[in-house]
Amino acid sequence: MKMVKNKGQVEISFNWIFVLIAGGLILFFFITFIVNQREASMEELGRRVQDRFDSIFTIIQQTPDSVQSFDHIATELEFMCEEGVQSYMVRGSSAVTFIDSQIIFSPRYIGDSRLVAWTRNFRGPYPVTPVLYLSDDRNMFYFIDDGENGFVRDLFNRFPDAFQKELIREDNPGLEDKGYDFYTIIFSDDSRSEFDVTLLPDDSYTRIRINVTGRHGDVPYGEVRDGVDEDVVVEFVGYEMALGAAVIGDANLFECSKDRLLQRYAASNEVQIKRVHELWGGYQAINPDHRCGIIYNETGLAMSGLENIKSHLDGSVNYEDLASIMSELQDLNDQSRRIGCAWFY
Amino acid sequence: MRMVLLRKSQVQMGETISVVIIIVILIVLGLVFYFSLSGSGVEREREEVQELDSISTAIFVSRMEEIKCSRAGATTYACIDMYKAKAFHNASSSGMPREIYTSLIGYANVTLNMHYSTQKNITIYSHEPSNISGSVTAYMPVMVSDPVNNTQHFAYLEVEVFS
Repeated sequence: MKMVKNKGQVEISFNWIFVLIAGGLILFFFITFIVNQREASMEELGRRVQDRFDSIFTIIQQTPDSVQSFDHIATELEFMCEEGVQSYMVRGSSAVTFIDSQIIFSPRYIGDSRLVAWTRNFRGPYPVTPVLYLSDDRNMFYFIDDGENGFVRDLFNRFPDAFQKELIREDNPGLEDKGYDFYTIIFSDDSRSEFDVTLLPDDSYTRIRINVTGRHGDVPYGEVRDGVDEDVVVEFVGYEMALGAAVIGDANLFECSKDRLLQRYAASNEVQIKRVHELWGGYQAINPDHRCGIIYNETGLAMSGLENIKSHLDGSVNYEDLASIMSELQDLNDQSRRIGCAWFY
Repeated sequence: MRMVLLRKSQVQMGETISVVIIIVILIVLGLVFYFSLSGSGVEREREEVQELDSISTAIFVSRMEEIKCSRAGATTYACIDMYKAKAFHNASSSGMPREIYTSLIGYANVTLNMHYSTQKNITIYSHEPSNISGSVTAYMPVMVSDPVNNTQHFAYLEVEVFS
């Protein structure tokens, strides 16, 4: 039976359809608006947290040779390095912060616990830049003892007590799981060849082999091998780099931070070369044959040392030679003062 | 003039459309108000960030190992070596050091203002962007050391950060 609607019925239906469409559009608009605002506020929160960390890192670095701890950091940071660019991001946020002004050695994940920051000045042998080592209460460092004069034991002794660390001696049965989220095992060729990691949960540990090849004065040089991929070999010079390798626990990540440190060293070396020019200009203004020429003139000891460093940093670095030059320049600093000239550094 | 009488249904339709139009107008007004408020907030925040940026750049530069006074391997706080300052400018003007220091300091002019001595002002770093939309300047008192003549001077560091 065919039903014919009268005009009033059609009008009421039309009103409802109109209200539904208009209401739907308004609802859609508000939902989109709220979702966008929520995403924007999450990004903003991530950015603010990163700004805060950036400030913290910058402030910490201004106090060299210090250890500072920060009570429970509520966010977790992930450190990355891609194509020589070091960066970190707050977990849960997509914003990445590129590390420009700091040289940071840190395990891949830190945060969501008490943060510990340690700074040391990288010396070449003049102060180049503060280096920042980060860790937290979730990361444990196991040093496999390599004897009285072993390099690993030396690194262990240099690690601050505020870092979670333990020296695993010969008589220690194995590496225990003590409830930490992550373990870094540091060993050398002089450490015992076997250490039992079966008690540690899978994917909760990393291994790094640090061997010292030699020393010039108090400047060690050697190589770092990835504990998993032994083909990854990265050379180092000085304690600051070796300690960086121990903190990072990953040869690839270490190479990235080390390269950035060497770049800064090269730039700083250029400044030192120009400074020697300026110093010699200053001395020549007093006396063209000033006695400090032996150190600061164009062929002086300082310039030849710095030019040697430059030639290494510009090309492929010979770490043994670099350690030797660093050690010689350390002696030059005392020598410059003995003959009444300006401190070299 | 002929008077037009509307039917009841037409009046109802008109009412509905008016209500929707008013609601839409209210929403648009609300959004305009919200975005203008948040826009002015962003502008204020941008100015604050710029000021903080200039202060942190001043602190960063004054504490760079490359220009700090050093003695027996130890560097001194708030003291700038005159020769290092000049050397830094020469080194950071070109080549690889310019790239490195630009990534660290950014677009800025850093001058050692030797207002309180007979020495000339020293430009430590200079890198201006091609298009300058604004700048903020921060000042910081420092000691300037001349290790050749064994003298020290009061000065202030003038850091102009560009945006």
